[in-house]
Amino acid sequence: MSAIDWYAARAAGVVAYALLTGGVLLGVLLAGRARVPFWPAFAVEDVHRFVGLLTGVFVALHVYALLLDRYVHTSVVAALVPGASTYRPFWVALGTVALELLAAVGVSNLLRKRLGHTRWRRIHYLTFAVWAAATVHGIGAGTDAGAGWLRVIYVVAVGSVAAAVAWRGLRPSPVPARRGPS
Amino acid sequence: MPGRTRIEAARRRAKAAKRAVALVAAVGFAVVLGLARQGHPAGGTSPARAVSHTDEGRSSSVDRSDDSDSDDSTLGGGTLAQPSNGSPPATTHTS
Repeated sequence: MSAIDWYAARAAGVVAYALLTGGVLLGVLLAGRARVPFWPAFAVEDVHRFVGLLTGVFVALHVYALLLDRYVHTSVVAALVPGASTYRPFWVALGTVALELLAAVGVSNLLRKRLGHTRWRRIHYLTFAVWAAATVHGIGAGTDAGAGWLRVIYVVAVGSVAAAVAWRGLRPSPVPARRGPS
Repeated sequence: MPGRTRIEAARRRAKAAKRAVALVAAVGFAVVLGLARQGHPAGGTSPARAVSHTDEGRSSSVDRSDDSDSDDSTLGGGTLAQPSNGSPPATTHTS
């Protein structure tokens, strides 16, 4: 009996969560037009986009490993339909919702020009909901959520995102840049 | 052209940062893979349903060892009780 699928699922989930947190932090920096020495906005945006892509890769790995795992017995339906899982249904449902919202944000990035900046931006705010759902999903569905090392990750993630959002909220609203006809 | 070189430098920095993020993610994955071992339902540390399969044997062996411990103590009590049956009358006789 090999438990590698379960380990891979947990590891991919934790790394995806850490990357998602990093992506949210970079996004808040960009939205607040923070001036970082030697880091113009286009460079930060480039890294932000890459972190988002890598988050998607690890989320896909997380779901794929769960589909292979023989303990939780996750089916494709259970992975895609909130509440369909027999294993911790509520907490897994939050993960499913986060996955689907993340996919929606990803698709909106591809259709950014067609959607227009305002609509794209509104959809992009869903990333906060993705992050919040992923946090609760990890704490509720993760079998090692009580482990010290994981608690540190959650505390650092929640603390840093809360601080970034507070910084953005307290910062005077930047003058919106002139955009094209979109 | 200093502006152009600054943009080039920023591009290079972004490229290096992306490489570092990918490397940290890969190393983090390997590290968490090891740490996640402790949380597997088969390990018996989680409240997942699979625990019942593995813990049955463990709990029965624990019960057995507990029984043997308690047997010792009851036997000990018995051996202590026997001589004490004789001593109280002895004290009453002397008093």
